[in-house]
Parts: sequence; C-alpha cells; structure tokens
Amino acid sequence: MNRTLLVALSLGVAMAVAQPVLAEPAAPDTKIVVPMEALPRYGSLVSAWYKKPVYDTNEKKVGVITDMLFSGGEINAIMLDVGGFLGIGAKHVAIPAEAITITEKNNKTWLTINTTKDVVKKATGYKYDAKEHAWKKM
Amino acid sequence: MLKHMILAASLAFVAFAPLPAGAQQAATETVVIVPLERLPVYGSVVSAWYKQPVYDPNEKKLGTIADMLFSADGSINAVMLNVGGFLGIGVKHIAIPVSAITITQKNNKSWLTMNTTKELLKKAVAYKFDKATGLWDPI
Repeated sequence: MNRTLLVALSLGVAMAVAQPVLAEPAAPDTKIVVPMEALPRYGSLVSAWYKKPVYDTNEKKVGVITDMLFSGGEINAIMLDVGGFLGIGAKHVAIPAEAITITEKNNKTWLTINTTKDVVKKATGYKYDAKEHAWKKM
Repeated sequence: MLKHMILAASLAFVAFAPLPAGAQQAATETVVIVPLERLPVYGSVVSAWYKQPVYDPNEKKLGTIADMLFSADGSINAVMLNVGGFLGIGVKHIAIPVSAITITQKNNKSWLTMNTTKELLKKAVAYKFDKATGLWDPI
C-alpha cells in the first residue's frame, strides 16, 4: 500500500516536472504499449471458434468457421463454410455471432447452430476477396 | 422492391399463423437461424490477426498472435501474443489490449504493428493455456 502510494507520488512528480517542458504533442506518437497485468473478463477464445466445426442440433456438421468479422473490437458476424453440409464445393454464409452456442462435449468445445439445410441453401453466399481483404457477395 | 414486400408479408404471415395454436413457448426454443443477407459494417477480420505476426515500429517481429479473448457480447478484450522468439526464449504469452495493435497494409498483405519495448515484454506477466479448463492463466 505504502509502496504503491510512493510509486504513484513519484510518477506524479515526474509528470509534473515533465509536463511544462514537453510531451503534449509528442505523446500520442510515442505511446508505448504496456502488456496487461491481469486478464479482463472473457467468455470465450477465438482459438475455440476459428477453423472449428459447427453442428446442428442433431449433431450433424453444418460447416466450419472460416472467419470472424469485427468492428471496433466487437465480433459481429461469423463466416461459415457450409459447402460440405450442402454437398457442394464451398459456400460461405454469414451468421450473427450470438446465433452460435458454445458448450463442451468430451472435454472439448462444441459449437452448435440451429439451422436447416434448406435455409443455408437459400442463404446469401460470400467469397473472400484477397485483394481487398474483404468478404463480398457471390 | 415489390418482391421484398411480398416476402416480408409472407414472413409476417408465417410468424403470426402458428401463434393461435399455442406455439409461442416452442418458438423461442426452436428459433431457426437464418444467415445474414448482408454483412454488418466491419473493420477487420479475425483471419487477418489470428496466428499472424506482429511487428514493432522498426519492422522487427515482436511475436505471433496465439489467441484473442472475447466476452459474451462479442467484444474482443485481449490479444494473446507469443513473444518468446523476440525475447530469445522458447515461448512466452503476454496479454495486449486489442486497441494497442494497429492493422495496416504492406505489399498487399495485412501488417500488424505495436509500439513496445523488449524491457516491457520481459517484465510483463506471462500466461499459459490450460487445456483442462480451456482458459488462459497467469504463470
């Protein structure tokens, strides 16, 4: 406690000394990233989703997660390759992230989605455009 | 446009028709997921980050992204970076706020950068993936 206070105080002194001299314009450019000392609360990991199979409620494989789209740090869509499920080459459909449920089975993560072959057959297909680094409608 | 309206009307019909038969309770349990007809606005894709290298401002490789942690609402709140190679040790995973890594392009490929120092990485808390719990724990 005492030590923390001391560090805080000395930092305060250092800042008070440094501020009038310089820093304000230089600060944003030279901002050094300090790794986190503790993990934030999290519910899941990309490693448990990315390139992993997703099953329907009858344990039939619907597809494999090929990508996850995010905006401002928030995952808002999941790209699922359902080609195998449909018996065609490759077809990527976009799924809202909250539509896939993660549980455990035999001590491994198990992803499920409640959908049907008909629905994914009719769904809009997407293709990754490597040049533009973006997913486009097929 | 007209087609959309008809489709919307028929969807509404389907949605309303089962209700009098008492299906309301069943409906919440059996909601069938319909894929998105259009993509939401997005800034980046996980495939451009996951297992990809991260460089410092001098183009020296700091490490590789080993995982990304996200909360139930879908917000990515930490990136696990293996900096072992950079430090000259085998493996060391550290946690970085996702906002600390910048994505740009270089030679038509995505290029991830982070401004940090060897000293800070050396001192940083290390994490290890626990397969039994499926969680990252501090070492």
